[in-house]
Amino acid sequence: MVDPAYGNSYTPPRKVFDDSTSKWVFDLDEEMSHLEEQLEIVRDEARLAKQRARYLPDSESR
Amino acid sequence: MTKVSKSLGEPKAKVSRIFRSEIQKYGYPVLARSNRASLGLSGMFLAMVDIAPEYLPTAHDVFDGMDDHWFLAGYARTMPEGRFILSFSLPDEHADEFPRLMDRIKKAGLVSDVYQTFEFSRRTFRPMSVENFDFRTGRWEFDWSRASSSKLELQPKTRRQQFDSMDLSVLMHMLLNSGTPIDEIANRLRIDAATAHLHARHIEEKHLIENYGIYWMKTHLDEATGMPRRPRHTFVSNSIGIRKATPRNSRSSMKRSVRSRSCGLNLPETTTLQRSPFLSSSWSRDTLSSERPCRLSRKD
Repeated sequence: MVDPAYGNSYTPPRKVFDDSTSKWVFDLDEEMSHLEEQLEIVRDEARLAKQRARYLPDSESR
Repeated sequence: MTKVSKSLGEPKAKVSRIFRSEIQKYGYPVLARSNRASLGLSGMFLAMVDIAPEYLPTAHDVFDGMDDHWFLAGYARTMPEGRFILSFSLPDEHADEFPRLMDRIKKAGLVSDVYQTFEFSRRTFRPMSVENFDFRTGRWEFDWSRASSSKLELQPKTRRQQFDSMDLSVLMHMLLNSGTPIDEIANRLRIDAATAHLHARHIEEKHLIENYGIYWMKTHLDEATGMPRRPRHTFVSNSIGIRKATPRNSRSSMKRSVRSRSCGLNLPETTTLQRSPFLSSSWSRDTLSSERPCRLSRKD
C-alpha cells in the first residue's frame, strides 16, 4: 500500500538528452553530483530550521 | 474524445459535455502516459529501499529536484512500513548499469538499505473497487484470476523513435496535463504556435505517448491543504509490476501466473496487499477516515 501524498507524474528527463547525438546521456558521476547538490540543500534547510527553532522565542514559535 | 465517444457509442458532443461537467470541473487533469520504448527508455527497474533517516522528511523534495537530471521514473512510499519503491527507466543501452546506479545512490547516503530490486517489462494500473475490501476482516477479497485478463498481457515492444529536446519539452506539458491547448504550451515554452503544433504532431505520429487516462492519485489532491478536492472517493487503485519477460515467453508466463493466481508476483490466492512489496495500492484519505471500520490486516 502506498501513501497517496507521495508520488510523482513521470516526464522523461529532458536535461539528460543530447540533441547533437540524439541519445540519452547516462553519466553516473554527473547524476550523483546533482544528487549530492540536492542532499546538501536539504541538509542546509534542516540545519536552518533547527537554528530557527533554537533561537526563536517560544511565544513567537507558537 | 473521438476515441471515447466511438467506444461508448455516444455522440462526441455528449461525451465532451459529460467530461467537462463531471471530470474537468473537479480538477482531474487528463494525463498521458509516455511510451518508454519509443523514447528508448525501456530498461525498467523497481527497487524497494529505506531512505536514510536524515532525508526521510524531505525525500519528496530530493526526488522532485532531481526530476530532469536522472532516470528515476517514479516513487511511492509504502504504508505502514514507510519504505520507498523507486522505479527507474534507463536508456536501453545502459540497462545493465542499474546495480551500479543503486550502489552509487546508496554510497551518496540517500538510501540506507536496498531490500529488493528487479527488472520489469510493464506496469499496469487496475482500479479496484472498495466492494472487494472486507471491512470486517480487514482483508482484500479480490479474485486475482480476474486480473489475468488480456489487458495484462504484454504489448509488443515499439521501436525507439527519433525525437529532439523540443519534442521532450512539449511532451512534458502533454504528460502533465493533456488538456492544455498546444497554443498555451507554445506560450510557456516561448516558441511559436506553428512549431509547437509541429512537435505535437510528431509526438503523436511517433507514438511517444502510449495512452491517456485520468488518475485520481495525486491529481485529485489539493496541494495546498493535502486534502482531496472531491470529498467522495471510494475506490482504490493498484499497480502491478510485471517481471521482465520477452514478448515471446510472455504468454506462457502469464498462463503460469493465471494457474497460480499470482499475476507473476507469487501472491497467495487471496492476499492482503502488504504481502507483496511491489503490488501497491492506495486509496483516498477520506476513505481511510470514513466511519466504516477500515482496519488493515497485517500477516507477519
